[in-house]
Amino acid sequence: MQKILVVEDEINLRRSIEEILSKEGYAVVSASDGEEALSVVERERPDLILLDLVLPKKDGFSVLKALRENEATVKIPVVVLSNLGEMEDVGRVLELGANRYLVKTDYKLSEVVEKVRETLGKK
Amino acid sequence: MAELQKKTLPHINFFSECERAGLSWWQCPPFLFISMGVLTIFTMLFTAIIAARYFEEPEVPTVVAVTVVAILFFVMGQSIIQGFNKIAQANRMKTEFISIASHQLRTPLSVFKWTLDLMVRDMSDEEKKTGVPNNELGRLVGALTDSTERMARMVNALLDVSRIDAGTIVFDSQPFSLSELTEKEVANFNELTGGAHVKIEYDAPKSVRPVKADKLRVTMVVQNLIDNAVRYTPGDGVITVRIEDAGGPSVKWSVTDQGLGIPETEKKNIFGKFFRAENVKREKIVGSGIGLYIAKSIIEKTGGKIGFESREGKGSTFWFTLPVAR
Repeated sequence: MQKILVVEDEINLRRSIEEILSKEGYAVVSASDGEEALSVVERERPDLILLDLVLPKKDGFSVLKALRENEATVKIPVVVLSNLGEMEDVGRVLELGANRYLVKTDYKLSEVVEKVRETLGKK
Repeated sequence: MAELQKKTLPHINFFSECERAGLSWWQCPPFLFISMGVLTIFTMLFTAIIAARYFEEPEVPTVVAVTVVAILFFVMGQSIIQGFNKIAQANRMKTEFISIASHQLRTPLSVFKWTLDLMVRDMSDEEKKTGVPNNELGRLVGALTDSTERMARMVNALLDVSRIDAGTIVFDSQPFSLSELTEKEVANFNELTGGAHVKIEYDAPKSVRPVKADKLRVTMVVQNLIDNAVRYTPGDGVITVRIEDAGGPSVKWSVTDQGLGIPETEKKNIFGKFFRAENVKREKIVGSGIGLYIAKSIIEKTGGKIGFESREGKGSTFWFTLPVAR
């Protein structure tokens, strides 16, 4: 079973993604801030990370940077799921090495799952 | 000062904009410009008169007058610059406010959207089990989903307005079929307005060359223009959506309605931000006044043109052109 880490501080959104991903047959672990995200990655070694950008303690940009600088996590696919949608943010995140950028309000849950599946397929 | 001006020059209202922007009279650019003009004229006249009458060497009063005027101009110039900066800052703050508010709205919107997604999903599971569709709940969830989508589109439109104002809007540029896109949107609208007062007809040649533009944003423009045609046709009517491809460097898209039309005096403002014509306000037709503003920016930045012909009470044709993909 493939394992997905959901990093999201808004509890209602986190629950929704967790629910749909487990219904779709993925193992789900989650984190509600940037520091927790990095320690969960260390412990759980997920197959993919769904990462929000505006997070307490350590923002998504820093988490992504830390993941890409670490030999052990450099290859884990990261799908950024955020409501920041300015080209500046998108460009910065892709430059830091994210695999995809999705604006939350523009995607249905089923489409998010679809993108997760596609990204895992490409790995 | 504004009161004095109202009494003396009621028809030239150069203070009203400054009052709205919170500028005092000594910072108000129109007032300062006029004062500078008046000051120049009077100084020249007086200097000439005084110099001719009382001085052996007319250079002395001339140099004094020029120095005094230069100092006054410098001080007034500073005030004008400050005034303009204040106005520019207010405008920038408004744009930033739209951007911040829209981003903040997106989080609760995502919660609505995804929670509704889960409800729809759970419902269809339950329906699969019992074989009985729960129609009432389905209708309610459907209504919420539609409204949430509409709100998400509105937030995206507001964000586009703030991006246009800040000059940070970035367009995608891909070849796509404008006729396929339009056919789909016309079908959607006919389904939505099914049985309502208007019918939308679609008229296009068999083959239309693909255009090169930002597909998502052109979809927004097409939806917006058809939506306007439907909304501003209060009675019965036929709306015609047409595509013309005459083999030139661009393809022309248009929508013709038999609706309210645009009053002659308001035509020049129709693409302005948040502008709404008096006759549509009178008819109490809901709208935000940002659709055409965004449409103009999208089409023109893509290398196309946008325009309209309209007669009040008869109807309007709105059209745009997009460059053909090579």
